[in-house]
Amino acid sequence: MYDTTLEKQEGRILNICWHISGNYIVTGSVNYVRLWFLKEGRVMRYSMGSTASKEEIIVWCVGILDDMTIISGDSRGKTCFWNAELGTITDTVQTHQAGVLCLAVCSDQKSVYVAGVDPVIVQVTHIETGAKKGRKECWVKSIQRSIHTHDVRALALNSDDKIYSGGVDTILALSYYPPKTVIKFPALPHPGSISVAGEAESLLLRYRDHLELWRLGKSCQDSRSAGQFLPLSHDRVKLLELQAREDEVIDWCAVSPQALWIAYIVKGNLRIFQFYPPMPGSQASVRRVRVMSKDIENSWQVLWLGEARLASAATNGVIQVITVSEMEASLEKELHLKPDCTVIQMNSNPDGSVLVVVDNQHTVTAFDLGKNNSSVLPCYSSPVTAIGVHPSTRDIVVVYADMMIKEYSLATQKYTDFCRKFLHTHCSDLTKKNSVIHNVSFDACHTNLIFLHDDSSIIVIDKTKAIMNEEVSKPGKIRRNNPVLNQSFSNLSNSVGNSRTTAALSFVQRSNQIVYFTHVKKESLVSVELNPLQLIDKLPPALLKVKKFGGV
Amino acid sequence: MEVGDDHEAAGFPEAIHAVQTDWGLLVRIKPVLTANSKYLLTGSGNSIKVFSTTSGSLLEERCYHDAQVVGVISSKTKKDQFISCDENGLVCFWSHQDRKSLEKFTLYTKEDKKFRIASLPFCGKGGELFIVTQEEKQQKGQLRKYFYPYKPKKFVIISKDVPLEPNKIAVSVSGDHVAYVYPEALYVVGGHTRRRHTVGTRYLTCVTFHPSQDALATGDITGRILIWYEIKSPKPTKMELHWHYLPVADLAFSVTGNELYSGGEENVLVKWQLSEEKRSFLPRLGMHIRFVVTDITNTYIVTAQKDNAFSIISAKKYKAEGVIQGLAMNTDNAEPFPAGIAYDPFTRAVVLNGRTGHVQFYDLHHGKQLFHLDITMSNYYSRERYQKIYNTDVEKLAVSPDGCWLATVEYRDDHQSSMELRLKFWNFKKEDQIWYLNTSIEMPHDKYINGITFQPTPTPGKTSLCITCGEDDKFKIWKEIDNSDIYGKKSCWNCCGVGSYRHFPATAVSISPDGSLIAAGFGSILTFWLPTTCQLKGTLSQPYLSERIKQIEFGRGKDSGSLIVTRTKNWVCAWDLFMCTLSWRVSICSTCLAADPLSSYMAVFSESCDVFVFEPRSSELVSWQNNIDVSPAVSAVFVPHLKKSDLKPLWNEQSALIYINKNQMLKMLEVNVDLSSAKDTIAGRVKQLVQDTEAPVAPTPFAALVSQTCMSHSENKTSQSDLAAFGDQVEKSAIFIQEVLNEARVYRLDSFAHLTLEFCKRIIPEAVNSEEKQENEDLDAKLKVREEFQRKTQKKIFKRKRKDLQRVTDSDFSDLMSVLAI
Repeated sequence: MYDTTLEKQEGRILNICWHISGNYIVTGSVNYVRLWFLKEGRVMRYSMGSTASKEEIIVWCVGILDDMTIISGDSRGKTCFWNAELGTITDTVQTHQAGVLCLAVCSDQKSVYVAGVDPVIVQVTHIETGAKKGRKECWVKSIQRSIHTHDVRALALNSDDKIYSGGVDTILALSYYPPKTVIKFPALPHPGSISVAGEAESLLLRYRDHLELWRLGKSCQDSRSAGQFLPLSHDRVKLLELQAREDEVIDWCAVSPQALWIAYIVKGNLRIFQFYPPMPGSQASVRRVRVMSKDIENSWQVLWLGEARLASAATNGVIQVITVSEMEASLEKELHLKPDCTVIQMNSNPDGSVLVVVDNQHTVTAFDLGKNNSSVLPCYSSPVTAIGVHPSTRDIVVVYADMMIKEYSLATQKYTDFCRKFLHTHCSDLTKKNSVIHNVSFDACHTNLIFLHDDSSIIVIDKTKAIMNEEVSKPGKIRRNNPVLNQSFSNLSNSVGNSRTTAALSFVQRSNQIVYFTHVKKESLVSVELNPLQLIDKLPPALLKVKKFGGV
Repeated sequence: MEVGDDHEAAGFPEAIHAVQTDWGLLVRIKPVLTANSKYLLTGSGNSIKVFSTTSGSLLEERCYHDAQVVGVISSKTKKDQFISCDENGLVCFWSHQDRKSLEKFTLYTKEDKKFRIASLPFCGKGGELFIVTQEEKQQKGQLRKYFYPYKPKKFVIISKDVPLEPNKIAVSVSGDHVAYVYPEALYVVGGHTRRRHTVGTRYLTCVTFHPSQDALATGDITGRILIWYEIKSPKPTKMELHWHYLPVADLAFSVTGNELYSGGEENVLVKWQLSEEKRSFLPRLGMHIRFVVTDITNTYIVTAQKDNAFSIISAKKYKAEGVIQGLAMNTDNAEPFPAGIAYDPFTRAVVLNGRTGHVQFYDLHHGKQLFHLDITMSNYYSRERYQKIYNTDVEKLAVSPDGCWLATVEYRDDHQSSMELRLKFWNFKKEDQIWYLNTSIEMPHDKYINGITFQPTPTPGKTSLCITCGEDDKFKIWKEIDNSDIYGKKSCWNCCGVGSYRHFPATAVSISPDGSLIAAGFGSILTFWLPTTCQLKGTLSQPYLSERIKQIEFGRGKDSGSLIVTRTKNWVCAWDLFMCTLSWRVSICSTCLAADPLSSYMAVFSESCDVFVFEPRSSELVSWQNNIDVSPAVSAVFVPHLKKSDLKPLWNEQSALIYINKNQMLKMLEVNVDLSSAKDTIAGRVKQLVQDTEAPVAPTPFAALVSQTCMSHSENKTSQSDLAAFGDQVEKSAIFIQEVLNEARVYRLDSFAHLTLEFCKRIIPEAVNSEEKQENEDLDAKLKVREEFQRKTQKKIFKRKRKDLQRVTDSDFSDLMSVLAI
């Protein structure tokens, strides 16, 4: 609700910070730090230096402690501490070689973390010195952490003073001491950028202004010995490059299982295309479905339910099921969630009979489109990170952010026995990982397998093993060269990555970041990976580091 | 060896003692600066040595203790009082100015002798003494706090597991906190609390307290310095300073606490300005820094280097002002002093390895280093974190008998890159008093050089020949040849002959005193060659003598001229050249052999630290002494005496025998010396070495001379006498001074021109005056009687003066030399 307008001041305001009492606001701008007294409506201006000099001192970040000590980080790489009443600098610490962009205050108000263009995260600590000549208080540069390679743009502290930092190098890092720990999370792939047509063995990739449809390569050789790269008999083929209109940015894309239909979203508008794959004697071609029903709302997420039918998460929170023919697209029906819920994630089985939807209140709703009914899965405390429907049994597998996996049977409307007996107890290995599952997929041929992936590894759950293991009752024991498992996905076996197998769970560690992993067809799986070096090439150059001889 | 009858008749055996002639290891403990920063005090051996920081000379030695001194610190209770402590627990309180004041106190009674004092870290304001004691064979010490007035039982134990090294324990200025470091943790003990702060695998090496704040600094093996603030709290705030890449050896705060100095194996002193995060460097301090010491006036920083030297650094200018150098230790080699000892007749110094890549000229008679000569002329490479880097070092050296030429062999082999071997010839220019590099020969031999020697007595008009022998089965003769061109007269050294024998390695070589015959050892075979044609004249060997010949010496004198002595690992043999037979052999496990160039005597040192003196003509011993030392001699040389003395036995009459042992101590053998004076056992004795004046002039011999001249000048004026004789003697003294100046190396004089002016003002007008007076004197015969009288008195003055000059020249001008040469 609009309250007041404060007095207009000259110059840009680059950062703003509230005092804990709510009576003061500190802002940082070029050459000045301002303290706004909200009750009186007056402004106090603290000058960073002489305004006569042409060198601008840009105050990138400000902070205020409970005792009215103002902290500012500026473009000189200095962190300054101000006495708000007197308007004087009490301490200046040259923490960095280049601009200080962000700061975070510890909960005890005794230390501050600062970072910036110089990506070292420096802790500045308030100390009391002077043994006998009276107490003297000052701020000193304390421990520093070199985590990032590029500018650090943001810092945040949680209640136990663990710091989260992120910046230009696309990595979110969590660091704390003691014990000295740094956990790095790579940037998540943007949803809706990769879509797989399983039956057609094709992959649709979304770029900023165009789509690319690729047919994956094939190997005709059978893999007898595990741990080998197979020679490709058919190389991958780029079937289609679909350009969007000029100055349009594609937000989302989807391809139907047989790759006959392609849909993408530009600014909420749905565009549907029919794709004619190349035949002997004819080129590949694409035709847009021009006539769209008036009832189709703007959407921001689409999913093909089999061929010629798609689900669209409309911006008003309704899920619309749209039937598409060669000529036109028409609304088949609307599915409603609970009021005030919006769709976060959707998934369905390959034939499109079951649609599962995750909403922003972390509830999972399953719509049986054949029977026209819906069921809500039991609630769980953590947010959902991945969801999948089994192609044959129609069991729903949900993975939560705390690495808990649940299997829900749609037929019985209950968690399955497997879920109750095994998944509750035996997934401790997963919970140790500092990462979340991004996708769930299944293999129609091997119905006992569940494929999961996170940033760096592929995880396979084998239900038969889990039951066997239960009988032996030795969970977590590492067994190597498990023949059944190796047979089932020979193209990513030991030599492909470090494989680690505990009875029912097997891990394939990859050095690249796994962006997408899913089952394609028969015995092939596709893994879309990103080499971190490739990412660094795309980044702007980092601040040149001064050689520090022995120092690190 | 058997003892002959005649020796016993002559009162044999006389006791031979080894007397240390160098200053010993100066950098064992942390030195301390006096309050006015003029003097540096350090404990070395059993004595405390006082050095002047301005001139760098040793001023006095205080021998209060009769055991190893483990700590010297300044007292906080009395001004100008110092406390020193030895291993046996004797604590001495003494004043630097007042030599008389000395208080002693023994820390423990005789019953508990099993303790040993390890270090003396601190003295509090109330006179509390912090002392680390070590029980026998314990790796950890006990920190005790003794209260004033001191009594053996009046102490409290602060901690029972403190490290013994001196810079791993620190006491805060107020004395209520003690910090000590073990590799994996820092312990802070204060009052009843004891806190442990672990550091993981970055093992700590040293600790020091801030002079005014509740802060301390630690260094670790990765070269990182941490400053710990708020040490009383359970979680101190740490500040990181990281530049060093090798372990930090020592840290010191300046008196205000705003600067921190750190040093390590990089040979760089780093100054950290704590408030501004700035650092400045002072590189190339010679060798690894062991200790860093600051003073309370912020005048000097003193660093103690591993090679037995102190660098005096001006704190304000942050510039090295001078060096106090003892006998430079050869620290990089597994076997110290590989090049052995040679004698330089010019400076009357011994020449031996010093700092890596250098040779040092060490004046025995005054017990001080004259100068360093940089042979390899390259920077010292300090090691990498996980890899040793080999530095080129001087492996062999020889000085020509006239002292004009120095030949050095430098060698580097890291077993990775190709070997480096270089033979260099250096010429001493008397006019400039500098050694100039004349010739540098890359790879003179294909393999390691086993020996190098000059011809003992040169052929008149020619320079001595130089011979090298190497592992590549060859010996080579080097000769100075004329290399003059249109630009001037030049000479260089060239190989003029090569000899090899049956593919045996050439292990030792020697040339006869007259230069007519070369003796070379090839394996176990002794061969003889003509130097001019390199023709093999003969071989001598015995089937049972199968050891490599290590040293060959030609006999000298009437009866021994035809004899040649060889030394192998277990045998000393004498061969007769006329008869071509083995004259005698004696089984002795020897380390080195030395031949006196002025007489026929030779000396051999055994592994078990015995010395045997003999003449080559017979296997009978002239003299011997068992167990003269604790570590075996590495190399030995006969050095001519400065003054002949009749009191000495025959073998010691011409030359003194000097040797250096494995513990890097330079020692002289003396016969029948008064041990009490030599070993400094008289407690409380203060050995005044240099006249120390409060005058602004630096206490140099020249200053002493000037003041002396001043005095005699004024005496003459009052006597109103004729000054002819005085003029004469002034001229003579001027010549003398000229000599002094020629040879002198002024260590740290203000300005040479200034001194010359001063000198001219005082001396030259007098000389002119005396000439005029001499003319008058011829005319006036009346004054003859008076003149006679005057002359007598002048003679007296002259004698006295000369004595003084003698004393001055004897005492100290050598340190002047060391600097002029650089």
